[in-house]
Amino acid sequence: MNAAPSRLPVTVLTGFLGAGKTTLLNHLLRESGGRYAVIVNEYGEIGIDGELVVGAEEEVLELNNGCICCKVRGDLIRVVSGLLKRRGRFDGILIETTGLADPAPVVQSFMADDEIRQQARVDGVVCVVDACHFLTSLERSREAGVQLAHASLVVINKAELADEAVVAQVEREIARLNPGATVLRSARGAVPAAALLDQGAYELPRLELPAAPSAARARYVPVPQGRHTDGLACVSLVLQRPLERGRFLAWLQRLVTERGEKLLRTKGIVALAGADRRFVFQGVHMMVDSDFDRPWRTEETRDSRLVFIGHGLDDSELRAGLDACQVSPA
Amino acid sequence: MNAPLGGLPPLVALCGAHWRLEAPVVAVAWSRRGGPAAFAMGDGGVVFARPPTQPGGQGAPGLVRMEAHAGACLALAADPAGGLVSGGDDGRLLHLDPAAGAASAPAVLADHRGEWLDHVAVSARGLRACASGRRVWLHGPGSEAVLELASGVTALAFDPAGGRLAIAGHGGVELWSAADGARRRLEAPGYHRALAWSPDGRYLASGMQENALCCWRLGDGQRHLFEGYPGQPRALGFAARGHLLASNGGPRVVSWDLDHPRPASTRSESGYPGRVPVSALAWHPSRALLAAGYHNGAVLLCRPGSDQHLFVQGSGAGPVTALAWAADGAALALGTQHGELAVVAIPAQILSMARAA
Repeated sequence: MNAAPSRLPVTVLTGFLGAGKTTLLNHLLRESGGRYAVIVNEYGEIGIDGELVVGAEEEVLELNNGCICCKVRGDLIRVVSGLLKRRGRFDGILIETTGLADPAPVVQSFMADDEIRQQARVDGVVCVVDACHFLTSLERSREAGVQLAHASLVVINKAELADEAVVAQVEREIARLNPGATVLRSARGAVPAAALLDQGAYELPRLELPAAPSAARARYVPVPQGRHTDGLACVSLVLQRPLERGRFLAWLQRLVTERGEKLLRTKGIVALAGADRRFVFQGVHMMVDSDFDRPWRTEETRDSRLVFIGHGLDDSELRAGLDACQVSPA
Repeated sequence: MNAPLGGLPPLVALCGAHWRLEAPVVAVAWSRRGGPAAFAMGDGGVVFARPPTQPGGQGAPGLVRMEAHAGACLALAADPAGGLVSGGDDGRLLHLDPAAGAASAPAVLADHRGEWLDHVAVSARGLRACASGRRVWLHGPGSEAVLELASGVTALAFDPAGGRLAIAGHGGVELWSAADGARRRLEAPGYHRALAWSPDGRYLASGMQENALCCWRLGDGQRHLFEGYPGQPRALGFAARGHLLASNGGPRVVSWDLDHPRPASTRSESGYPGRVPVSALAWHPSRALLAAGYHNGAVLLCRPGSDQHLFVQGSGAGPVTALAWAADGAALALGTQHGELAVVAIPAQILSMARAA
């Protein structure tokens, strides 16, 4: 049901006030060469060079489906529906969120609405961080961690103003909390537009998770949690034996139902026993999108790689739950 | 459902006229008094089309286009007094008179500059309502009012008598009475996105984001919730008589009979049993016959509770976004996201096969 190529790409920009979101946005509008509709919250207060700039009042709405983390942005559904009615006039939509906004309801709006999902897709969540202040924000504010967790790409802005040691520390923290995110350094929002505007981060066939071996393996060691922002942590797991389909799907369903509020992001490429194709999934809180993807290649290691980013995750419990889904050793 | 079975060409080829335009069709409505079908377009225009007068699509007059809104046309409603009322992202509420011709400028009923008017409704008593964000404006004889709502407005609908306006949003539906301006809230947790009144005004139904339909019996406030849709029921409508409520929300049209003491036990499905989602529907104004539009562009005539169907249009024209029967039930207008629009005269022999609703 996914990846109809004609779906309009939507890029979400998050980041704290002062991190340089608007500068980055203007840079993208100038450099991309495309025509973009821009949706902003603080309409009129800031100069945006776009042809079509629409203001939207942040209206976060809870859905009544038994899950308190299933939220959508009513204003976005409305504005995006309106923009889709005049399709053909632009190449994509850029959404700039307020400094403290949680990106989840933005992304969930595109996952939860049938009409919008058929015509538009979130291409990526870009988190703009200020190299000098990010580590402090991360310690003091839950929102900074949440925004980082949802990012598919992190732009470290004002990197030229910070010590190299600080920037390196920022990069390590990003890699620790969200190892799947692409990280770019920039000065005054100058990053290659192409890198930001065609990520396909929420398209299952384009899902990529770092391979396990050698250098990357260090990243996969579970890290003690609790140092920052209400115990935000990333748990990355690799399983060598294939998973039994029924057990694994039931486990995943139970996990997102019971822990949906704490689970910010889930992603996985899974080898199911007896399946020739990769089973891929990605989720935001309780909403999970999954599908069988391309066949495994002969040279590929048929292991399962899963990443969970959330608050207060118990990595040994996750590991034990998944171990129990593996087929018995031959 | 790529092509009609049995080799029969679809009705649009036999007795319809169709056009392909550059902009998406946003909505369609028929102007009263035997007027043409009006299509609201994503480029701000409203185009008028009439069904062909002879078989084989011959005798169809050309399209007449009227420039309406500066941006996109977002909403359209037939005015019971004649003509149409449209709202656009230029903030204007317009009255369009198809008889005035393409060169004429539409009458500006209201100008809410800077607002996107995404919903409009017109009452049988001449009231016009339009909404943007959390506000609803009422314009009409003897009443100008602005209503402030707790959440963004997702749908507007006047009851058939024109005395009450239903306003959908998060957490329920608000009823505004034209007689005294009183407001009454129908609470129901969830996000309500679409509205339909029963023709006698006794029932009000809302389509919900949570893949469910909510229905109130207004006399005693009794509420029914119909769940289990694979998708969101956003196109809904009551049959001309009785209380048969049909909606999309999956690959088939689902209907519930509210006259039954336990309506949930009367669930029935109609249309082609396939996998393509239904995107639009319209009940025939007097017969037990439904037009259903699909995400792949196909449009079928179906009998409620039956697999029987007849192709009006085959697939391929993009998601069907708009469907409406002419008031006399002799023609169907349809439009798609890809800018395909058609007006089809439905032969009396076909209509007579469906019983009176």
